[in-house]
Amino acid sequence: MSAVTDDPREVAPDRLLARDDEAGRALRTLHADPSVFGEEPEAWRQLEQRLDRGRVSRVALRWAAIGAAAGALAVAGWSWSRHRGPLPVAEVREPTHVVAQLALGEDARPLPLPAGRSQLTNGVDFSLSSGGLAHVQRTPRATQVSLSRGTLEVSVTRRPAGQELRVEAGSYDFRVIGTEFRVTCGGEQVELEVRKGRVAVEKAGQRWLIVGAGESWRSAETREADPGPSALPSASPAPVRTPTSSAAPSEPPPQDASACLRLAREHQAQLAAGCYQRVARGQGLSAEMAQLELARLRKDVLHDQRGALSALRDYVSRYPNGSFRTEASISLVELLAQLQPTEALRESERLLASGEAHERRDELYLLRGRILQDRLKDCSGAEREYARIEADRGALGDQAELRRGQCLETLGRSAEAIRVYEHYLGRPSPSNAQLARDRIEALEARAPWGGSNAD
Amino acid sequence: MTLRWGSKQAVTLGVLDLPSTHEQRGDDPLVQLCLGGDVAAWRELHRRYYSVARAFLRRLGVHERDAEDACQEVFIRLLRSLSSFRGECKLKTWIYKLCLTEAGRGRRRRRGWDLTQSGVAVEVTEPTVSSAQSELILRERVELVLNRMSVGDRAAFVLYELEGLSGREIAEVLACPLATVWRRLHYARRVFLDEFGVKGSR
Repeated sequence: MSAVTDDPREVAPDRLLARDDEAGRALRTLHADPSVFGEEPEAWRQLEQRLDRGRVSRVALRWAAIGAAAGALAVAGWSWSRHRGPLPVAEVREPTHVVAQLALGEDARPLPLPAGRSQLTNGVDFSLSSGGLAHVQRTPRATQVSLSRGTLEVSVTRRPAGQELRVEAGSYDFRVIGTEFRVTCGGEQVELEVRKGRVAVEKAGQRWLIVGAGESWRSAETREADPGPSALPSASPAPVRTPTSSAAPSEPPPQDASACLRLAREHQAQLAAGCYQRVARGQGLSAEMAQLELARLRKDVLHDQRGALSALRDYVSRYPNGSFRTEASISLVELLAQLQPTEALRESERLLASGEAHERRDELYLLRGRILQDRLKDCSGAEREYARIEADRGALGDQAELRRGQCLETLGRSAEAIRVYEHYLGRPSPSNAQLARDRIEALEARAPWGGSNAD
Repeated sequence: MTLRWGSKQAVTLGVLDLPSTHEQRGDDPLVQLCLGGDVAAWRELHRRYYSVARAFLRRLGVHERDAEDACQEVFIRLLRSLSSFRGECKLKTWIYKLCLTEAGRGRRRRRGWDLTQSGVAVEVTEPTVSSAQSELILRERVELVLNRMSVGDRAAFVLYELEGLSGREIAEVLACPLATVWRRLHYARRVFLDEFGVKGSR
């Protein structure tokens, strides 16, 4: 009798049942267990009963199906006879959110804006408060909204081509340059709050100021007579400009790394990037770190890969012997792998040849293999890269060996692929053992060989 | 009394004198009689293979409480599809295949049958355990080890070690190459011997 070795292609092994050891004894308890065999006569009787019941239930099911079909036909017929004419209006369901669609005519007649949400067909959204009063009309050069009372929120999703959007409230006009803002007209006061973009405030055809995103403006107007046409704007009560808390354009920008980090943690990525950029212009380790952080922020948060690439290239050129040169170089290769794979291969080859990334060469081989396999569809080259890492017993080697097997499969080198997968399964804790086993079985099923094992 | 079963075969209950061992008679004539609607032949077929099917289902992990139903399903499917049997393999091989399918179906329905709750309560109230109890404990250990094997490995292991099939017969049941049979058996034995054997002497 031959013993089974670690090679699964060994000849037929001895039967454990015949062994006189713990394994044999254990298996014999299962083999001799009488409960697994059941009671055949009783089982036959139950099978007969079930088959009889099955016949009855099948007949019953057939009649039930016929009955159900007849019932469905009856209901359909009744419905059809009942609804032969147009459906009564009362049965039409109202949508839960009504957005009035307004189509402005060319005849320049003002159209009252309904309370709630409404939308112009030229892409402007309004929301008028309950009890508010506003009209909208089209003029040759603009879509004009007149707000008499209440609060009107405006969102311009698409600026009408050749058409301004203007909101008139009190004696003020708000000319829309940007996108989202709110105008409130109540009693003697007019208030503007801009969420996105910019809105110009004008009076008597003269521009007073532009209110930007995050800013608000409130008039000091009372029910006094309007200034005459000769009055200068400066003679009118001065507007009060109240920036909202979300923007502080008058404060000096932060310039230390901790401030940049704080901005990043507060999810103000653009401001953080600007901050890091300023710090990176300085000298020393903090400038180096800021340069790398800028690259990371652009890549991971702002999804600006080209900006990140530029930042990394800046680092590499400014700090050829920098403290983070290796990390920057590898990050550069990783980014190039997505944007310019051929350039990534050249850069990684230069890195490997220079020895500057010696302690991370396995990472680079794996990265090169992935570029060749996934981006350039060169499994032959990829397989060679992966083969360089097979001695690694960790996660890198795990990934490389599995990918190597996949490459060999793609290249049609099935026997080699099986050997690589088998070797992979011999790892201490292969992360994708089932995948490897499935691939082996699939390759064996396809191949003409069935093994030369004796039976 | 006439029974009509799924394949609209009308059979008559009766007694037929048939040789009891299929080695003497072989399955083919039995299959022909079954196809002819001979209920005694069906009875004989059930008698021959019921315990084989039931034991195999249990050893694949089908719980005791579900084994009877599963075995019935196997024979119902056998009954319905026997007319398409062309003798490409032994009838026993085909029954093994039906058992594998039924075991898989049950697994998907119930997401794992628990052999640890075999319905047998083992209460050890005395300081020493009787031989019957120790055998029961050992058997449950074996079942737990079988549960650790993958489905394919367990099937190969059970067919080889417990059912005594050859490698080629197992390859026919599992519809895979012989090398795959040995590979699955190798992995299954490694799991089994890790529990009950000494490593290195497999």
